[in-house]
Amino acid sequence: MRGGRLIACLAGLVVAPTAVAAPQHNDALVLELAPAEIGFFYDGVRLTVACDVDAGLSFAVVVSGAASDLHLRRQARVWRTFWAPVGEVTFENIPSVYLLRTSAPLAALAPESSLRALGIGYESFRPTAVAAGGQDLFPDLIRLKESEGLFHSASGGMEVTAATGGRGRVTTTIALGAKAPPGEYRVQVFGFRAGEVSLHEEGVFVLTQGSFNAFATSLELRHGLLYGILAVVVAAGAGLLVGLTFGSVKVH
Amino acid sequence: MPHIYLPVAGSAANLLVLLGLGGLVGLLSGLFGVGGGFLLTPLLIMIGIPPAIAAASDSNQIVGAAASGMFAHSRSGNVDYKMGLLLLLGGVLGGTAGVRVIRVLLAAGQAGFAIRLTYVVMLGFIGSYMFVDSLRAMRSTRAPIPVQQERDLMRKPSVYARLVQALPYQMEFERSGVRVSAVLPLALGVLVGVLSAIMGVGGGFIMVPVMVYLLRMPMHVVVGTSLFQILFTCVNVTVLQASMNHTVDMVLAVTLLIGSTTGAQAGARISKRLKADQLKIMMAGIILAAMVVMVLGLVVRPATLLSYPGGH
Repeated sequence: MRGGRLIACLAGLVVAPTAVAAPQHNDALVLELAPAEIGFFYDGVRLTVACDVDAGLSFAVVVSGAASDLHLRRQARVWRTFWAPVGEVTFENIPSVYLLRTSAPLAALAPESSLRALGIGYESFRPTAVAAGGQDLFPDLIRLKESEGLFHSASGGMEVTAATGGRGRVTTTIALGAKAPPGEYRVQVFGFRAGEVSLHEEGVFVLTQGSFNAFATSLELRHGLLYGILAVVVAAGAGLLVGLTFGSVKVH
Repeated sequence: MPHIYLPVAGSAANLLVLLGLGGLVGLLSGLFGVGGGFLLTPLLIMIGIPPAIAAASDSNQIVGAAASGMFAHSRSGNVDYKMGLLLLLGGVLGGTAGVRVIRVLLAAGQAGFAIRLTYVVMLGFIGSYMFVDSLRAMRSTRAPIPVQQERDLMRKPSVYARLVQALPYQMEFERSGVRVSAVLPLALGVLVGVLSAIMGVGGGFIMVPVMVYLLRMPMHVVVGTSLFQILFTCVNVTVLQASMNHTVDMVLAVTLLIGSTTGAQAGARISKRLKADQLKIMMAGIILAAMVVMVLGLVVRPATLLSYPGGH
């Protein structure tokens, strides 16, 4: 499957009528994943999004993972010296992954209120209530997620090729970091003209684990004792094999 | 560069970096004849592996290295099984307690902080001790102790020796040719077991000097017996970490093991061409540098004030 193409959404193409002022076409949205699954050798996924569009539009492409409440630890100084976790913070309805690519700066696409309503930009999931203590930790959440490659927002990197009849095709490639969890991801392509949404195409892709990783994760979570014994047998076997090959090794 | 996916850590790591880290630690192990497990966990933390997974997976890779060494020493008759079993009993008790401590710390979101802090203390202690000891050794080769002073030192029973002799349950250990209280190896085993669970170390860096200086065991038996205890303590810790805390990444452990065993072979060959005291000072410098990096990680304001609660 690695290196293969996953073409999704051709059959399951969804047009969201509430978000689109007047969809003019059932444009094809094509998603390609490389590699197509989390294999033994893996450094994240490159997702190529291609969508047929009208000419003269500005675009936003949003890739998002399942949203859930996120429980994190807040760090503060302890004993006036060390930074350590001191309390829990919960952010409601935060996507596991949020990757945004736009053809122009966000402010040039549409008014902020419209972007929020469409779920475009980090501000669209900023909590309305500030955490206890009055400290706004939302920027820290964004930094944490960005450092893991799970959140990203950038403008540029979109290629628009002209086709016949005033139509064209917008293409962009987005990287999903290696920490992106397996599961279903939603891809949305928005087209803007004069600050109004004139195109909204949506599709999904599923990121799956390769058979070895799926087996290891499942065994570790569901049969921890068996996994532990297996880990010991594998390590001891490998150590003995090396010992027999090279002579004994020193222990740490 | 190829990256491999670490299924339990839930992220990828550069294969060459992991092999390189394992190789570096194995090289140091081969060069200096002391353990490097206590260096591997902080190095893994520095490249972004969550502390709890780094420590547990390090314990797992030590199983491989210890199995290999123990097998060779066992065939040469260099294992004091009686002493080893007492150390192991303590190690199992200490390791079990340590895994439970990690479980509580994980639930409280403090495991990473506790592991880092323990490392700062241990690396600081070991690095400083090695540095001072090697400096002293270099000086002593230039200025030997006067003969009369040396005789006086050997004649006087130290406070420690009197204390050890006063302990209950004195036992004869034929293979080692020593008579000590069973309490001593038990307590030592508990200490090493706790450290093994919290830090992901084999404990050889504590076990070997203590067996030589405190238990007065001959060096050839010390290494084999230490490996025996370390092997089964790490087996216990690995199984418990996997079943209770879900923090053992087998892929990470085996990759590190391949690097460390290869590095140890190279280190053992290079060490024959270098001077011991200079090597020791170099090692102390590396340990102290790792400690400084760990300290900075604790005292410098982090880029984000949020962190994940568990080891994942």
